[in-house]
Amino acid sequence: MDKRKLAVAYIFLVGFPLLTLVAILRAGTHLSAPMAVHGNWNVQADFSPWQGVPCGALLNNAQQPLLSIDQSGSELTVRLNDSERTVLPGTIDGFTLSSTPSDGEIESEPGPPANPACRSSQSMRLQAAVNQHGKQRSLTGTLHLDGCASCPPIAFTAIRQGLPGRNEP
Amino acid sequence: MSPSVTLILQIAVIIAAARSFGLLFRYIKQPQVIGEMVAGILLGPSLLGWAAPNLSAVLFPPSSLGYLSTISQVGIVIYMFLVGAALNPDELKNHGHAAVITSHVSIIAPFVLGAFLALFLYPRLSDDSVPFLGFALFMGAAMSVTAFPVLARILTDRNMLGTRLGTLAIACAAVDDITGWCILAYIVVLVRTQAGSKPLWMTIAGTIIFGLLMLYGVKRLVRRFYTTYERRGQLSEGVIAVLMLFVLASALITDWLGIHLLFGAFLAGAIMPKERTFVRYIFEKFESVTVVLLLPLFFAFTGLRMNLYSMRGRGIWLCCGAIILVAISGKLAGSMIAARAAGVPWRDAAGLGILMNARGLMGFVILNLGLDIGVISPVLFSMMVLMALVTTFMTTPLLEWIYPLKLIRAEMSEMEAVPVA
Repeated sequence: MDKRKLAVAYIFLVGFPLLTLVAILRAGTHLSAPMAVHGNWNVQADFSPWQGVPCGALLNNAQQPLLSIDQSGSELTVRLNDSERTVLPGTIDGFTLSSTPSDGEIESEPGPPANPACRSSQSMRLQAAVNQHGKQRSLTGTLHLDGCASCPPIAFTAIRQGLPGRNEP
Repeated sequence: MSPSVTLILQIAVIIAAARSFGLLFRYIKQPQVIGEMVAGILLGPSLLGWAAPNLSAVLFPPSSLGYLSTISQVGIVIYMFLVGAALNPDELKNHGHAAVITSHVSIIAPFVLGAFLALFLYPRLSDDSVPFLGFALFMGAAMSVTAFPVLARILTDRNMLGTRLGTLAIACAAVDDITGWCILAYIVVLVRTQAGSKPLWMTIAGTIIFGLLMLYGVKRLVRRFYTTYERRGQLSEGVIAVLMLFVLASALITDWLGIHLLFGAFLAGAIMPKERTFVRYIFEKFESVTVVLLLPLFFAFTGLRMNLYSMRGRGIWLCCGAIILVAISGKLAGSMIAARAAGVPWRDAAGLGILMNARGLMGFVILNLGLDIGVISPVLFSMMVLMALVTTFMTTPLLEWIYPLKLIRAEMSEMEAVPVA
């Protein structure tokens, strides 16, 4: 192949795609993605009204960070650091974060359940608003215990621990 | 169980699974390393965690994974050094302009398609902590990487290393990986600087100075390893220890500069002398422990981070399908068209595209890095790992179809006949 033809091929196969790449990168700057809420959150709340009910008891020995959130776009997986490592799927829409237990029951991490009664009779639900203070984000919301008529929603605030990392399996 | 007992049990289970699947994959004519990668995935929540959650919880409790992560990182640092040592971009010169254009297109074509796909994926699978620029560049880099070590293994297994196609593929893959890692270093700087870990100027200036020092100063010094080897026919344990310290120091410096341990290890390997006997000797010294012990741990750690069950819903699987399609069309078709445009015969061009399409282990390394720095989400990580597995798995059967063994034998005997004539 002579050099002239090769130069034309190079411009067509390398130069043109490079210009396309620049155009794509410029076009993408106008895109917006959902708010980042992934990471570990320290929660402040009073869980005493839930003492004595199966799911509420799980939170008695809960340790900080109480909330751990995995995020893929607007889809969330919220983990509570309670004795059963409760897992709640959820979503974020704008500034509103909400989680619901799948199939009306609480999912949990592998392992024997700490409180089997909780899985069958009650389910936890979380709703929160994301507040932005400069680079810092916090959550203000309520934790609900569905299936327990005498359990009032518990208000909480949460502050994220440091910058979010995704390096934990 | 005490942490050390748990760790030893984990290592035993991982090695047993890796070797078993490696043998199984060899039986179905796939490179052993693909079986080891699959074994790692199956030990995670995608199979073991789903089929036997209690056993999984006992074997891999979350509190123990930090140790596994650390040991696998050490393995990958050594492995990246070996990958760097095996690369020899000078081989590109032997193939003239055809190799230059092919290697450049095999980077840019999947890169552009990956960035284009990012326009669709960013609002759906990312979040506002990641700038679009970093996300799109990462998608491009992950799509354009080639599994240099797996490619070399496939070529060796098929006795193709000496063929026209084999040498061209090795040369192009070397250029692809070096370019891919340079782009990746930029992405890490971009993302980490936004997170405020170090001023941008310090990282960029430090990296450039370090790179120049390595290429123009340290490269001459490490040549002494070769002269010592040439003089004595081997390296003493003391010299091997110095070599190891050099690799670790290089890795630590790049991490301190704000990029990543792996870049330093890769650069340390890249500046090593390229005499074949010396490179083979280095591999013999380091490869066994790395390949048999440490890499399976890395595969298992990757498997523990990947969760097929996190890929819920038709939309997610459509995204995954689009990722695989874009990866194949960008790398396979891009390399093939470029090689053909440069005058390579159709069969060789197709063979080259198929070989370049394998992402394998290098794909795993890059994806783990992306997850570590938060540029991709866990679900996107799972999709991309699946893509890396699919593109690697399809290489051998496709190559057998396009480039059957009888054709390789014919080409090899033709090449052997030329000097005699």
